[in-house]
Amino acid sequence: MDAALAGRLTRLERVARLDRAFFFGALVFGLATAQAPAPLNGPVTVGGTTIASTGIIVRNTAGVTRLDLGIDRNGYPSVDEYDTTGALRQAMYLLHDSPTLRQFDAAEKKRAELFLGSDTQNGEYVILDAAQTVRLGVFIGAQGLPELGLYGSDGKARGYLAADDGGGYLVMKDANATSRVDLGAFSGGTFGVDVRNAAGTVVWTKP
Amino acid sequence: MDSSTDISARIDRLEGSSRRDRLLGVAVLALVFATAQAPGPPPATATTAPIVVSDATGATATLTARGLTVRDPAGRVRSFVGVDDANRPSVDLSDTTGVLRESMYLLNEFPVLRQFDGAGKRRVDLHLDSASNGELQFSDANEKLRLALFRTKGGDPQMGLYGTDEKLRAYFSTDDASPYLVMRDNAGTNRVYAGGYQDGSVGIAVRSAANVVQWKAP
Repeated sequence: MDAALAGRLTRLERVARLDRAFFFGALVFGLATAQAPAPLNGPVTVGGTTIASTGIIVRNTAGVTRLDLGIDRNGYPSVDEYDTTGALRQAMYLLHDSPTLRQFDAAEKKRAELFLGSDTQNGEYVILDAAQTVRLGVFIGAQGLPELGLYGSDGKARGYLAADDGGGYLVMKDANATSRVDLGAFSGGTFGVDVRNAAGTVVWTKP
Repeated sequence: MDSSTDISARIDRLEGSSRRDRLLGVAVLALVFATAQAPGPPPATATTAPIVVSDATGATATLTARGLTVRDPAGRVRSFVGVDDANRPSVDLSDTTGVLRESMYLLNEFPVLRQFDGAGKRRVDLHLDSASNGELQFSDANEKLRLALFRTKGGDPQMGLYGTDEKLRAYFSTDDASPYLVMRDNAGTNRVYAGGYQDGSVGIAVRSAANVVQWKAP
């Protein structure tokens, strides 16, 4: 009887040790691998697309960035589009918190821009030449007047059409910035047209 | 006999603890299967859980079923691309105070780009109108329309300049015959007309506030 009991006891003690080892093994494995959902601390890449903490970047098969969206290296929220050479061609972003849409040529020169002025927050759209000189602009100016401006290669106004509450007016200037033609509302409240010489003297006026 | 009784009691205790250990082991194993995740990239297959990527500064990018939202270290949303709360595809940029400043989206299926000032007022609106003609509008700080480039209902291209009352003061347009420039006073009277007339002639005329021609040529 004692021998039988001793045999049962030996088997039970062996099984108990095995069970305990199994239990602790399972516990260690669980602690080592169990994860609560948590932010990823590094970028996630799927093919050419990478999601990082600052946004998303899409690259082509050659590894050239074609699009990014998020917060750029200057801290501006932005959407940027690049051509196949990697040149920035179009960007919508907040430049110093001012909304801006820019289009660039292949040399990454700014050629068109739609934005709010940083001082007045008035809307403005400008077209620039390859030297990045503004040649055309439509905008609400610093005085709050809507205006179309045409500019020479020197960036100086040659013609502009504007309006205040009294009426609209068209002005044409020569290369010396002298007004040579005025048409529309004059400052005195009248309407008419006048032509001036290079010295700015009126040589013809109506009515 | 006392020894046998003692051994029997030990065996009973061992059998009990063995059953408990086995139950605990099975429970832990079940926990492992329920929570264990293989290290590596997130699954490429669809998931309902947002994917959040963060960095040491506290900036985060969150990818959900609706799109991607990027927050600055202060936790303010600065960029969003995706389908917005009104189910419009949208790209939104917000400033450092969290105010929406620039948005490109489809409004009632029509493309729109809008720029807002720091007070959240709409100042620039570039869109297609209900006839799918392009239109650019500038508004002042009171959200009054002051300048517009657009096509008229007749299809003519036109630029309009408006007063603080949102009424036209000048417009420059053209039809297939010839362009024309019109300037108005604050009463809405045409005071200057230059360009093509409806009869096909071309000239220039200045009118009084009573709408009487004061001078005309040729």
